Amino acid sequence: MSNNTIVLKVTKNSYFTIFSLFLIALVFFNSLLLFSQSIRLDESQSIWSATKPIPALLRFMAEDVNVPLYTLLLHFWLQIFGTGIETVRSLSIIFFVLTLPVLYQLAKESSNSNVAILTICLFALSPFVTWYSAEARTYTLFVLLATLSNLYFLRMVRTDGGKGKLGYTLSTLFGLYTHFFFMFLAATQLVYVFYKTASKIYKSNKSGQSILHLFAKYKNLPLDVIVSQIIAFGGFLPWIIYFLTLGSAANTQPLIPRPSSFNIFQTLVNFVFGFQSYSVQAILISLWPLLILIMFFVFTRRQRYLTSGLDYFALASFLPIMLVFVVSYLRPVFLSRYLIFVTPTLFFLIAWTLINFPRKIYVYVTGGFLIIMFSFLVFQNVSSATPVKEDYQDVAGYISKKAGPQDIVAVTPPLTVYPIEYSYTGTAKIVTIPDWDRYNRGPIPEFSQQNLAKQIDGFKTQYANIFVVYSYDQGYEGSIKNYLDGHFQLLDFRTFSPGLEVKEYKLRYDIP
Amino acid sequence: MEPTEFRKTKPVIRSGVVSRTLILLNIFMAAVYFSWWLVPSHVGNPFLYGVLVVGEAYHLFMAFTFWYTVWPRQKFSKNRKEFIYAFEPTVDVFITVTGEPKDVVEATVRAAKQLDYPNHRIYILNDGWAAKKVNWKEAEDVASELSVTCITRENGHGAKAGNINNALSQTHGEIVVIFDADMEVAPDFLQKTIPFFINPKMGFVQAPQYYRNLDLNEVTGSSWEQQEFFFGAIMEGKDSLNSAFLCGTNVAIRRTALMDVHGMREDNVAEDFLTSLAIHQKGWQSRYVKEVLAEGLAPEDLLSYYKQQFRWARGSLEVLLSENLLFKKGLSWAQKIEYLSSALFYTNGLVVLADSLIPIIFLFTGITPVASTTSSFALFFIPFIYLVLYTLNRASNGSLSFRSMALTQSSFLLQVSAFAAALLKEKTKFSVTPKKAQLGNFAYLAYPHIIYTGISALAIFTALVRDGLTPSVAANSAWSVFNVIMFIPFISMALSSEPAAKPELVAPQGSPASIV
Repeated sequence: MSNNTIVLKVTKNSYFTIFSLFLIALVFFNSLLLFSQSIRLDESQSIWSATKPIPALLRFMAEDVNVPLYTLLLHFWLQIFGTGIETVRSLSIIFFVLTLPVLYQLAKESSNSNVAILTICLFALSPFVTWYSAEARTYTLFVLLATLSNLYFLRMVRTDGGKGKLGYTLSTLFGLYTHFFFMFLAATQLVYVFYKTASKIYKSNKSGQSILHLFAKYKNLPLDVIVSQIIAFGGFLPWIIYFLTLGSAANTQPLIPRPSSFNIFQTLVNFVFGFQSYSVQAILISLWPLLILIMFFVFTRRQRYLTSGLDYFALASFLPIMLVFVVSYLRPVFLSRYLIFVTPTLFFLIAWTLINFPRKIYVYVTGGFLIIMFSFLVFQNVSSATPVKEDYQDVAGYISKKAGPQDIVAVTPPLTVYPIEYSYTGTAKIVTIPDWDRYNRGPIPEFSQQNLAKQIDGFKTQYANIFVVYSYDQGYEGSIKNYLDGHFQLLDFRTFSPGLEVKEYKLRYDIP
Repeated sequence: MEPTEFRKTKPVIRSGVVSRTLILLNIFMAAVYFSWWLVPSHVGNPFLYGVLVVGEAYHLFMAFTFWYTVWPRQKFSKNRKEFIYAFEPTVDVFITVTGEPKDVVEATVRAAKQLDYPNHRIYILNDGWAAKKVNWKEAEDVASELSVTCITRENGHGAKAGNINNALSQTHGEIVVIFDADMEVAPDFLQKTIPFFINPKMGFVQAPQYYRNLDLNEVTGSSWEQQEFFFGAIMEGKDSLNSAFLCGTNVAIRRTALMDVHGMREDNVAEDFLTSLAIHQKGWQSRYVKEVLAEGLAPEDLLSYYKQQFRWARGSLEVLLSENLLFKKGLSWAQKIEYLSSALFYTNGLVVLADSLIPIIFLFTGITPVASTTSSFALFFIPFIYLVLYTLNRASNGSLSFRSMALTQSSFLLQVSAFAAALLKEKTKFSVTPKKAQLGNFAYLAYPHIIYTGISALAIFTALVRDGLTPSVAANSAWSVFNVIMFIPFISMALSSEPAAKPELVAPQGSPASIV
């Protein structure tokens, strides 16, 4: 009887593993499909920076208030494999694929192989993660290093600092060079270690020992984590010094509004269901009472899968979001993609929650959840209404075809010139509004109404028509539209993807 | 019939320790959460908003009393080594019987006969004749067979309390121990409870009411899970505040304490609750022993559960409405808070009813109680409810189950009925919880829940037609679905009940041998 049970378990596990591998393969091919999509603004910036010599690359990254590890890796990648968009994006998918076994190990060490398999299924199915696995940006490297950091950190916690120190130090160091937000993960880990140590001291304090004596007893872990972080931050210091010595930022960051409570939930919805239209996101967020129901299920389970460090997974999933939310009241930096590093722990929590549902409904709940995620994944990737889609490729094709040497193309804001240029094959000159010479050091000039009028007057003397490409409103798009709509005849208007549009105006009537 | 041999390893009632830090964090989050309700711009429809605020204030008060109860504090000494083993006061063991099956009573008496204590006498308090039970004589037969005393009374006045008072007048033991007819006691019950009475101020010592049939079906399982939370974290907390109250069975009471309050209170169906209140008022102390020392039977069908809960709710609510608990003389503030929170527990039904209806009202009419984004509310509510559920989980050491919570939520109508009955002072007859499953189709008990499910579906459809799938419609639909899912275990229990059998309606025959 018991042998039969074991065989049944093995068979079930095998089916589950095969199903998971199938799912991951499906997602992998889905990522490959995303390769055919247009280059996006951020990607063009990555390519533009990565193709420069290393000193210039470092300068551009520092001026962009960014960190250089991914771009440096991309620099060498491009030298070997070329600058085709598929080639450029494939580096990200490598990091994505590498994350899967690390995440599996992290989940397995914290729970068991069932939870681990489900965790990587959810992670791989996440439309959000998949999106960035096919984007030539730092985010999948960021997730990989965050997952490694979590893995080694928890090993340190479980062995009271005995194991994982080197891995933790290195992953933190490289993580800091991958994204500034790695600091929030390090801060969360520090909070967790202090919380754990304080708990131990509190519990032991009842035995009548002095606090100092108890701290001496439990000091290993906090000291090891602090030392590892000091070494990592010490290794990051040269970049900070370099950044400060440059003394100026290129003003190329997107304009980020101050977040509201909606953005917190939107971020979580993004992680699980991807980039859907605003109305779909609002509906999904409004279903939060069902989350309460899930909490009821979780906290009323009489027997649960054993998990170590569950409190860390909860803290690492939500504390960084709250920290960034609070920091955003000083300086708005709240963007869901910057928070991608919480997805490994978040998907572990979801997997653990699902697997703890009563046996009778576990299959239906988990299966239903995976199907819903997959549906959103497909919808995100095929829908033209997906908010993050940027069809610069079609814009470049359109103006290449329509604009001639007698016309001029103006791109606003200036940083969007990169993706246009990447695919542009036309003969008309491309400029930016405000006028920006990106080969000279210094920030992008501020927008002013006077300079706009002066710039357009200059065009009137030389060009017949102007094609204005609008995207990424930086706060002055309305002023440009008002000015041009009020002074010139609108000849054509096209929208290519959400927020990306081209307007053609007649500048002079003496040129046919 | 041989008694069930008391298991060698006793079942354990799970409960955990909640740290002060966690409770303080709860209080902080509760304050943050409730502040959301105090923002004037959040008021939509003032009446509905008011209803929600009152409901939330109730939840908050109950949460505060829960945190107060489970707050870690210095417990009374648990070290029984301090007791003098020569302390062996005389004990009268009362087994109250009101027509329970003979095998059940026999097993209980046999177990009681194995009590490891020198100075005790066992009495069957037979109320079967007075309650017109057809098998009333079986109790006398059992007493005769097992050589214990049976006190059968003719006058059924005061129900169980009257039965005990009747026996008190005929017995003389210094300590009175009360067991329901189904409670098979462990041999060491008296050894574990009587030593507390060496303290001359000790009024009573209560032990938990364990259900040995907990694995029988969903009803017994859920009932036990509700009990486990109560007899775990809650009673332990009350014990630390000298506020543990009588639970009707598995209790040892000092006769002088009981006589000090003129015996068990006969004017309320929750005679145990009110009697312990009176005993505490007189300055007597109480203790709770969190060790399974007797095993009884849970209600085995939904109707029996319903009746039991109604009786408890009716009694507690009557105490709430008739006794001015906060201003009772002789009680400490801790005792006042504990009695108040226990009595208030059964008003939860009113809040559940209101909370269930408000999303339906919105979906049908578009009238919204709250003028704010759902995400802004969620930001305040989710951390609060997360902490509350986590704390409940910690306090119960993971013993709290979904079905037991769902059963509590689904009992809202019986609580509302009990509240109405208490308010209108309708007479409610004391009825003993049946010890064996009642055959019958109890689907009707879930008709309100099934109707709610149908109305919810209709309301969601109406709102979708009227407004389309807007965030407000989605949020209120989600709340309706939430309520429906909470009702599902109850509906399932009701629908899975057995088909009806003919009730026995035979008049009692013969005359009692020992009517007093």
